[in-house]
Amino acid sequence: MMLSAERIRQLIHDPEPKPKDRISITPILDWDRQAKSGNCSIDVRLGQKFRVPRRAELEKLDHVSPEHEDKIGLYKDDHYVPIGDRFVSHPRQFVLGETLEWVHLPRGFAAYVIGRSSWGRDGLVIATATGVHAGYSGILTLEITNLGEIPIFLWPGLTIAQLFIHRVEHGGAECNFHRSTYSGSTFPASGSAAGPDKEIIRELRATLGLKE
Amino acid sequence: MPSIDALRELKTCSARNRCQAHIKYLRGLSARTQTSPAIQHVIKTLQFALKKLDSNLAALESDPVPPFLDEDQIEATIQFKSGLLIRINAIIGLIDVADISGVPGELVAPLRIEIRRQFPDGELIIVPAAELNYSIVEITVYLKRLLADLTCEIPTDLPPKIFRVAIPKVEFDQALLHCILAHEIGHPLFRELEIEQKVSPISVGERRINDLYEQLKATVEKAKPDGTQRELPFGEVMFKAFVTENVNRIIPTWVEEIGSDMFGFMTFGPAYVLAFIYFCSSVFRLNSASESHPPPRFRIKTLLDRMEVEFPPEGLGCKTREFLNTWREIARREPINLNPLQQIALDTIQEQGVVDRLYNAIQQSLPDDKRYSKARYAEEVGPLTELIDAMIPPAEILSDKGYKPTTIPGILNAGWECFLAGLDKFRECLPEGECNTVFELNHKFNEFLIKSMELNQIRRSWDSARNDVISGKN
Repeated sequence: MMLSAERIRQLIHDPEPKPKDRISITPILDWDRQAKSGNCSIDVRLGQKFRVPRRAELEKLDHVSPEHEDKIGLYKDDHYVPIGDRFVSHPRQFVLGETLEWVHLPRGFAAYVIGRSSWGRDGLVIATATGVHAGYSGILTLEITNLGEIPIFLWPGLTIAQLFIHRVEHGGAECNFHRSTYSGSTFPASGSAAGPDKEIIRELRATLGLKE
Repeated sequence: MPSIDALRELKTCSARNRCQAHIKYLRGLSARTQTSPAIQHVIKTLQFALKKLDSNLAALESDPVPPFLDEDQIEATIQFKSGLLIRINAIIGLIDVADISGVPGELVAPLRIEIRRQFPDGELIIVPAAELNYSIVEITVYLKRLLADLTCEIPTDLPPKIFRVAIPKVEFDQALLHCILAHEIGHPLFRELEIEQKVSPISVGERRINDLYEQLKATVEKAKPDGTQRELPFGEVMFKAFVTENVNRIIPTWVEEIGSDMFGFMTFGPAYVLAFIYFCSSVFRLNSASESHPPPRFRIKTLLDRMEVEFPPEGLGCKTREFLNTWREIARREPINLNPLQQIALDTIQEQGVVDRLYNAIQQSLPDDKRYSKARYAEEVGPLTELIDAMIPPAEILSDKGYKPTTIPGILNAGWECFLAGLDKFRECLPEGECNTVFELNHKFNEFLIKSMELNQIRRSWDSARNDVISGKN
């Protein structure tokens, strides 16, 4: 069941549960604007950090490569843009951004992040990997691409996406609770998409006699 | 006169060239993304000073040489101006690496708010320090002196106080250690509030000097094995004057250090004491004193004594109490191996109750709203540690009136409580397989605290800007 903005607001302000068991979105700078009555989402703002690939140095992204995790951090530039200043997103440029808010979802809740339509109409795609699992606690990484023809100024502090929160139903017994991969993120995070599968793919390549 | 003319031309011409090089360099510096608005103020002031200097040098180059001046006097006249380049260059060096590539911006903004809590018109520049120490310099003083020597007026928009704080570069991410900044802010407060005058006079104990003289005399007299008398190579009066003068040089600097510790404690509470112990114990010897700094063992003792009164142990977490008790035992012992002058300075400070006088003077001078009180600690640290344990940044706290922003000292005090408790609950919130070592966990935790400070600063700055918009200010 999707939660209305009013319900989200009530749950965040409920002093009864311990912090761990309470939904937390911090800081909400303007409750009336970000949790509009009648909506079924809460708006989140653009944060101050951006991560941009170093195109001149990064020759490829290969999640199966053994060096991927070691090298990927070296080939991205981190930008800090304080509120009041802006980041210029050029046409076709891809950057990782972050929500200004830290989001904490207890076990019984999960969420989706969706870009705000007013940005979308300018050609800005804001979040593609949109699921936020129950138990997640951290800033949300936004995958931002300017698909338009004209550079767009991204001002940290502006509302950029909306968070739809819903309850999680467990089938029968309480399901095992996994702590989310990026939980605890304090900046836009990138990681390995392949996970343990990369070992299997490498093994298959060896079996097939394909070169590394 | 040709040699005078040639010298004048060569000297002014090379100085003007170097002046232009500085102007060009500042243009590049200005284009960098800076971490604090104060840097642009410094750059603008230096650009203004350089233009004035260049026009002064141009005048010296072209104006006729007064016939009554010889070569040396002409050189001295030009040197008075061209020598200012050395000072300008030194000021550039103070701010050169304060841009976004050298300093994490998310750290500067919250600390700037802390500076402004103590100095409402103050500005902060943070730079990376190559050495493992924190330090503070007030840049405005240098700028004002420079402008005075150029007979320029001070720009009206120049902030009255710009503090340049150096933080060990390799420890930028160590949020808990940054409580040491409270001591650094204590130095300008100590001067501004004239604390030294308020604890004066401190007179060097005559008995101690007499004892030292007698001790020295006896040692020298005993030194000759054949029994013949040997005398000290200086008279009693001269010796006592020498000792008094040197001890009098040590005492004010030690008093300022202890006073700045007191400021640190009063503005940040237990977090300052804990950070100071951590900071000192790792890289300094407890008994090691210098002309400028009293032995850390004594400083820790004075802070722990004060902690016992202001923040009684029952209000602290169990692990924090254990940690402090251990250090109380260590600090109880008197410092050893001080040189005789340092020993007299320490004895004088202890015998004359200087620490209590300092504490009282600071307590009377520092308004309540600039202090971190016991009541505040009791009210917020418990709920904030609960947030940290759930890995929720303690940037805001839930009250009857909704979420209100916390403070940087509040965040750091709660951070220290959790840190000393071992961070077990915090670790439980992290993904499996992450932070497998103590160092990785500590690093992650400090990163989380910096994020908390960043979010807290955003909330407070946003509220303040919104209030300004509503009230029509700016």
